[in-house]
Amino acid sequence: MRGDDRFDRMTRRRLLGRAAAVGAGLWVGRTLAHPRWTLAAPAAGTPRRGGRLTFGSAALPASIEPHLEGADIYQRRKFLFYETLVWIDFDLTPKPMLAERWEERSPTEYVFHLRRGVRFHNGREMDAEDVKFSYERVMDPRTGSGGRGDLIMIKSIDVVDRYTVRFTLHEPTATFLINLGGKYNAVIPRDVLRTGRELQGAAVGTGPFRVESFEPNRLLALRRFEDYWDRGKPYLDALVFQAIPDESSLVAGLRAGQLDMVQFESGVNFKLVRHLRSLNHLQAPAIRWVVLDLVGDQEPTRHPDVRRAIALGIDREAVLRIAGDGLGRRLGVLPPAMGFWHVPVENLPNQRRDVARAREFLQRAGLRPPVPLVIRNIVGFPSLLASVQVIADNLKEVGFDVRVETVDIGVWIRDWIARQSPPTMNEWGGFVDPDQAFYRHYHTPPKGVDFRRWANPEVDRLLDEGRGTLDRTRRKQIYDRVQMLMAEDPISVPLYAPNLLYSMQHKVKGFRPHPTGFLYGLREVWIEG
Amino acid sequence: MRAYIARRLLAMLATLLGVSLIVFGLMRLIPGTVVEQLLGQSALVGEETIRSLRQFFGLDRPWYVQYGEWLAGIARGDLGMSWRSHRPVLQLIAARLPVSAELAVLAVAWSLLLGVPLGALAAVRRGRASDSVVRFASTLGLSVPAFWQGTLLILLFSVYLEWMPFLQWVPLTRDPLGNLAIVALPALTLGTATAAMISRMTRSAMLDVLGRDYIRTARAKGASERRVLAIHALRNALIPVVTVAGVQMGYILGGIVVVEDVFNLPGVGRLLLDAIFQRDYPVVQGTILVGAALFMGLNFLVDLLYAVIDPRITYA
Repeated sequence: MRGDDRFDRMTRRRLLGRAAAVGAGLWVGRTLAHPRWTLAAPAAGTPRRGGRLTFGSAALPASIEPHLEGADIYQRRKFLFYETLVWIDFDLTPKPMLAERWEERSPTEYVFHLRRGVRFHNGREMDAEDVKFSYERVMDPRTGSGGRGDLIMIKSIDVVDRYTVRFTLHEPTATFLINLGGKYNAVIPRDVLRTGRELQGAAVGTGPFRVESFEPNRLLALRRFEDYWDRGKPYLDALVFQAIPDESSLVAGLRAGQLDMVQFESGVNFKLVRHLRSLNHLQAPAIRWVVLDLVGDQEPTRHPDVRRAIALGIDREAVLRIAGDGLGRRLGVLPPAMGFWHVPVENLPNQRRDVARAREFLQRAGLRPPVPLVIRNIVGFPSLLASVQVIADNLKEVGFDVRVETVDIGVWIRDWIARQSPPTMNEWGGFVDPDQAFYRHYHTPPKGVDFRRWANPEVDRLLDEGRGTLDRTRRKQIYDRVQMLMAEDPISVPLYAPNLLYSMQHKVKGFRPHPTGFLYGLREVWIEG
Repeated sequence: MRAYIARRLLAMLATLLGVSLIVFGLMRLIPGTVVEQLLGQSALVGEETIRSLRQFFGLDRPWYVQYGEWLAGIARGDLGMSWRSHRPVLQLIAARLPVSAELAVLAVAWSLLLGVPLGALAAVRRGRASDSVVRFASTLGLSVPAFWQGTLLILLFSVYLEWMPFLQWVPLTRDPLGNLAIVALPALTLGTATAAMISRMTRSAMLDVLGRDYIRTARAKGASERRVLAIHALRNALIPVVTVAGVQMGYILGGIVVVEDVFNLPGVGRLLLDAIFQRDYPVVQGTILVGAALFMGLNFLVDLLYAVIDPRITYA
């Protein structure tokens, strides 16, 4: 996304005009790494210091523990008060953060030179020992961090001197730098933990804001950190996040001026406000996707032909229109927001709905309609519910008798981790590299988890090769092939990528949406007037 | 009286023990634990990590050991620590209780202020249009679910009329008007069904009392109709109404969970709901136990109120 993108208010007329300009190509899956309707909040004028911003969203975490919390919806605000050695920029490449620079001395040896004078929120200066402690804490199985798998390639971390730290890897790993900036990581003071639970309700990071107060699930109040290493940043004096589960209240809060900015999880409420001229509205493609995950070890989806029949039987445009309110992009495999890595829909097989071919595949699998098919759904995800209803209706035409089994998220996660889930609706996101999106999910154990029990040796081989290849062009070829294989034998049927949806008062300037949904953009925001 | 109070307190203690066992068991019957919630669905973790997390939360020990430890803590006045926010459960409840208590008190006050006069009016004007209107309204009030009523009120006041109370909770002590603006709609929603129940109860109790000999006697002695209704009839009719109001308190405590969620209020109901979703056992167990203790305490107080309302009732 370009930083100088001009902001347009999304009135109905403008939206129609824009839709006409962008054209129907949007809906036939034309790849636009940076679509024209990816907008940034108006940034005209000089940023000014001061002011307070109240941000409303559907959920806040119960804990702000930096190394343990897993859900993206909870993690979005974390990098406003915690930081990592490198961060993933808006163009999805690793950039210096707490490390001023790094040297790649060999494919398995990286030396990071830390910024000097970086202070934690408790006033102490950060040094190499803190970096070593923090990353080793995530790697330690006793910590119980879900991010341990992202750092599995690290053999050792050595302190060279106060401001230099060396990472030695077991083997060359293309995503090493990207993983260092991953959502489970954060550099914390090595002397702040006694019981291991001190950071669940308080934060000691190096970020531009410090946590002033935190009420679990309700309120997170941040204050400008005066000793932040990037002098002059942030612009805001205070930033308050409020959890408002009922999105109609978010709309009302915006209209009443009680909220300065809002992130919507559902398109319905965004559509309610986006015609209002009293607000600015912004939607951006996201690295999130709604998907139907099949399984390779249960009837009937253990047959590749049945999986093809399902993929061909689903009208993905209709799913986007109905479940995603048309505010997103229909998918092939990886979402368009992943830019360089994304293979356009028209280049992939089994993407258009074709009921006749789907029936042929079903017949070829030796199954006679009606074929019973259980699809699991998770309570509390309206978009998944709407999607599964469209899917059930679509697949009935093909010859499937779909039974939707709705479970609580706790049950869902338990069975998913244990690799016992039946075919299920799902929502993924937050990945910035195909290795992150594919390796853990599709590589067979023990290296990966292969949650869907696909057991595809060719994909295993490609994923290993992709992980160990450092040349970007060669990696692109590898992951294009992986996407092709996934479309040919669809163990997952990606449906659509919902856009990130924000509305804000006119006085809010300079916000840029990050494709992951993480709120890095709030570091640059200022209040006008 | 003392013996009665001692007996009641012992019975309450036994009931609380039963509640503690039920809630402890029920939470563990719900599939999925805090460990899965914490890891999220995409975590690549080995058995070792899951084992260490289970150990960390004490889930690796037998249930009776966990239960025993929890009870021992309660005996010391310690409800334990929240697994997710690492804060004392008692502190979490204490911080949220004023919100829920205010909501409950206002809901009961609203239901009494509305229910008693309307019930009395319907009884006095039995068979007339106003009686029919009150009976229809009370049936409607009993039938409409709180979450639906709450959503309609939000839509009407916030979205259509664009009248929006503060999204952030303001304590009554700091800004009484601002506080009432926030709590008015939730209290209205929470008290509607109880108001309907009380009006029906008051109507039938009043009809029963109005047919009694002492009412006829009072009228024969020349007492004004207002005095007959207010002093002789209503006071006697209030005994069953107080009983109903006490029982309704339980429904109100249950309704608080729904109403606080709909109106985004930082009360005990929201705390409980969030804790259930996150499988934060100590918070769920502590909140339900405190709720049960409050409910039983209120009913006990209602029983003692009988003696105040009707001097003939004694607990000797």
